[in-house]
Amino acid sequence: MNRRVLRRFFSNFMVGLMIGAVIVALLPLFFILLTLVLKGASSLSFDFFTRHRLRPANPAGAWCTRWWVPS
Amino acid sequence: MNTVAERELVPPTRNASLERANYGDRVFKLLLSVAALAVPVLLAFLVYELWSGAALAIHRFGFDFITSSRWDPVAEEFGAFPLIFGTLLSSLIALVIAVPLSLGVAIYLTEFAPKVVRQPVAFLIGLLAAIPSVVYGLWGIFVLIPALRTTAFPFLKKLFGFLPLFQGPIYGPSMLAAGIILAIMIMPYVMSVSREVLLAVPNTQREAALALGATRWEAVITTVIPYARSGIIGAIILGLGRALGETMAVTMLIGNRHEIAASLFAPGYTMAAAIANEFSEAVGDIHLSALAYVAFLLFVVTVLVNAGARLLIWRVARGSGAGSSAL
Repeated sequence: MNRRVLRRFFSNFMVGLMIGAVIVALLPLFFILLTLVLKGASSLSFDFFTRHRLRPANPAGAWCTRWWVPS
Repeated sequence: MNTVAERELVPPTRNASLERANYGDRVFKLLLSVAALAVPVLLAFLVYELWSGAALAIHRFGFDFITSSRWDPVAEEFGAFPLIFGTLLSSLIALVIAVPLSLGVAIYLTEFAPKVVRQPVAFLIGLLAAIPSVVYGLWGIFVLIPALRTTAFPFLKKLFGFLPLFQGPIYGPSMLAAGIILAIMIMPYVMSVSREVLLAVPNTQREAALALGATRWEAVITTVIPYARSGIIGAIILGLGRALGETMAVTMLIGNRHEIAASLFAPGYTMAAAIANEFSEAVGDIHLSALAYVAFLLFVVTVLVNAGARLLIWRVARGSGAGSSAL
């Protein structure tokens, strides 16, 4: 291989490495979003924001939260 | 009729509205001056408060506090060396991982990427900066640590096990895990500042290199990067500053052990994590004072690192390149 081809190959190789860097940099974002969705999947309902998951284990003892405990 | 010279000698009549406008200007100037002075005054108060809070520990432990590794609240013996070591090492690991990645992304986005890719990718990576650090910590506990413990750490141990850095038992929460999460957290900052700096490099530089027969990569490495080097160093320092002070995610992942270990798989501790963990539980004046001393040391370490960085940028920026005037 002559020098020109080697230089061209190296240049393309480095560009490939940088594309790899972009992919690696985006992976955490993808995995964080995926984790949040999967872990929260069981709670994903409108009720989550209003009452169910926020209900304390012992509603009678928590006076400040009693008003939104479903009857 | 007055001559021009006579007219110039006549004092200008006082205009009430002009006077009022000048008064407003003066008040505005005063307000701005007070606002500008408030920052250094606040800093001085902060230093004074830390110093006075730490006075008891400073008086009792003196300089030994920095060199001692013992942290025993029961015996009231405190030494912050593992905390300083942990802070610096976790930040260093974060930089080693984040800087090549961030620079690669910044170079790709400014020099090689098609226009349709540039904005969306920059936006997505910028989104990483919007995630709260406690979410990073949770993600680290749920996903990163199990993944590292079962796959990445054994692989590293097998590959580089001859080095002390990758020896010893694998717990999961460790210096390396904290470094990795810090790297993910500082990446968007380093990337976006580097990208701005690279965008500020004049096109004539690239064109000149290409006209001389350089490949696109050679044009980047021989002309664009040297031109932007001071700005890139500034971006790295910005990331380092954030890594040094980061608390929540590190506290959740580093393992919180007051020990210095050669292995990156071993748990450690950082100054910010120690303050966050122990301040609410500290009993006794000396414990509180020791934590204030740690906070003072964190402040000193941050100031020293930033001062060193300024010096580095000043030395590098002598050639005056892109971004140097902004730093």
